Amino acid sequence: MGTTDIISLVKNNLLYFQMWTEVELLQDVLPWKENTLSLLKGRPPHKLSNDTEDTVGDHGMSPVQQTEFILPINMSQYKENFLTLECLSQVFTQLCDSVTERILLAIINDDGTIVYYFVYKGVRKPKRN
Amino acid sequence: MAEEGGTRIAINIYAKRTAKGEEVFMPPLVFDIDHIKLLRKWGICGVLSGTLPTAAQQNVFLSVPLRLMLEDVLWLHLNNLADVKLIRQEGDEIMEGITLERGAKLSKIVNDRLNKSFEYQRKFKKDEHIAKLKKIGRINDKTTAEELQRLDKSSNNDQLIESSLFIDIANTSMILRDIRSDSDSLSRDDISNLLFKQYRQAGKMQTYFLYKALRDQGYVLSPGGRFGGKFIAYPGDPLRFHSHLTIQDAIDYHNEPIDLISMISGARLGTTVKKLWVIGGVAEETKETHFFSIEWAGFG
Repeated sequence: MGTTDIISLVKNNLLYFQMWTEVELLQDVLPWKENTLSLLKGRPPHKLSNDTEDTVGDHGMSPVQQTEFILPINMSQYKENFLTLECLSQVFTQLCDSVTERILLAIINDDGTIVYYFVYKGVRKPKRN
Repeated sequence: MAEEGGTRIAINIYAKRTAKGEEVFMPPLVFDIDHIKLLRKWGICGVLSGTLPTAAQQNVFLSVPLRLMLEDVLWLHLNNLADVKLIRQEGDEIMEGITLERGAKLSKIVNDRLNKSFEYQRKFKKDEHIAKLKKIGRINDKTTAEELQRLDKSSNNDQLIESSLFIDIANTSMILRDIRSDSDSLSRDDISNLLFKQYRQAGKMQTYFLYKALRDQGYVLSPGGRFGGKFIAYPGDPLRFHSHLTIQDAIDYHNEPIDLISMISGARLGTTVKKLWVIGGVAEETKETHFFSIEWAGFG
C-alpha cells in the first residue's frame, strides 16, 4: 500500500467509521527512508482522555474537542527499520508545533482494520479514568 | 545523602563459572537491615528473597537478603555509595574452608550472646513480677529474700519465665563477614569494569541510561517482568503509589524499529492496568535519552 492509500484509508475511517470531523491532510511532508510521512489533523466526536481541557464552542454551546494529529502507518512497515525513535522525534519536531504533546498513531493492519494509539513525547502519567 | 554519616551499602555478589568457563554473576544481595532501610530511602527497593526457617513455604513475608537489580548496583557503585564484594567461591567451598577451631569459636560467640540475652530477659521479667506483687500488696519493702524465693517456687515462676524467653536471631551472617573476597584486591575501576562486562553480557548498556534518566526524574524502579517490561516505574515509594510506567529495553535510536506487535500488546495491557508503555533509547551523538509513552486511544 502506498503512502496516499494509507492516508485516505485512515481519513475515511476517521470520518465515516469513528465519526470524526474536520479531518484534513497537513501540508508539511517529512521524507523518511525512501518514503514520506505526513500528518492528518482532525477533531474527535467526544473527549478522548479526561486530562485534556475542552475549549468551549463559539456560542457557549456544546464543548468543542481539541484537535488531534494523526500519523498513519502500515503495520508491515515496522519490519523495514521504519518506525524508529528518531522517526518519532522527527515527526514531533518537524510536523507538529512546539506545544504538541501527543500524536495519534493509526496502525493499519493487513485486513484493513485500524488501531489507534496515543504516543506522548517523554515520560508521562497515565490518563485518569 | 550526607546525613547518613557516609554509610556504604555492603553488596554481595556470588560469581559462578559456566561450563564454557564464562563468569556469571548471581543476583546481587544485601544482608544488612540498616543498609536495606537506607536503600529504600534512596528509592532502591529491591526484592526481599529470604524465607524464614519456621515458615519456609510462605512467599509473602520474605526476609533478608534483599535482591537488587544489576542496574541498582551499577548506579550505587558509580555514585560511590556501595562496597561491592565479589565472592568467587562456591557455597560449600566456603563452608569447608571454615576450620573446626573457627567453627567452635563462632558457635561459642553465638551461645554467649544468646545466654546474655536470656539473662537480661530473666532479670527484666523478675523485676516486673516483683513490681506487680508490690502493687497488689502481696509483698512490701520489708519482705525478706527467703520469703520471695518461697513465693517464686510455689507459683512455678522460674519455669514460666524459662518458657517465655525470646531467642534473638542475628540479621547478618558472621560466616559471611569472615569470607575473604576476591574484590579486596580489586580497585573501584576493576569492579566497574566487571559490572559493566556482566551487564553487557545480559543486555544493552543503553538500558542502564534509561534506568538512570528515570531515577534522576524521581522514579523508583523495580523489575518489570510482571507487566511484560524491563522495569516498572513508581512515582515514589511502591507502598504508597501504584506504578505508572512499564519500561521496555532500550532500542537503538537510529536503526532499530519499534516492534508494532509488541507495542500494541504492551500498550493495550498497560492501559487496562493504568500504566503507560514506555520505550526509549539514547542518541549516540548527544548522549540524550529519548522516551515515548504509548497508550491505547480508547477506540479502534
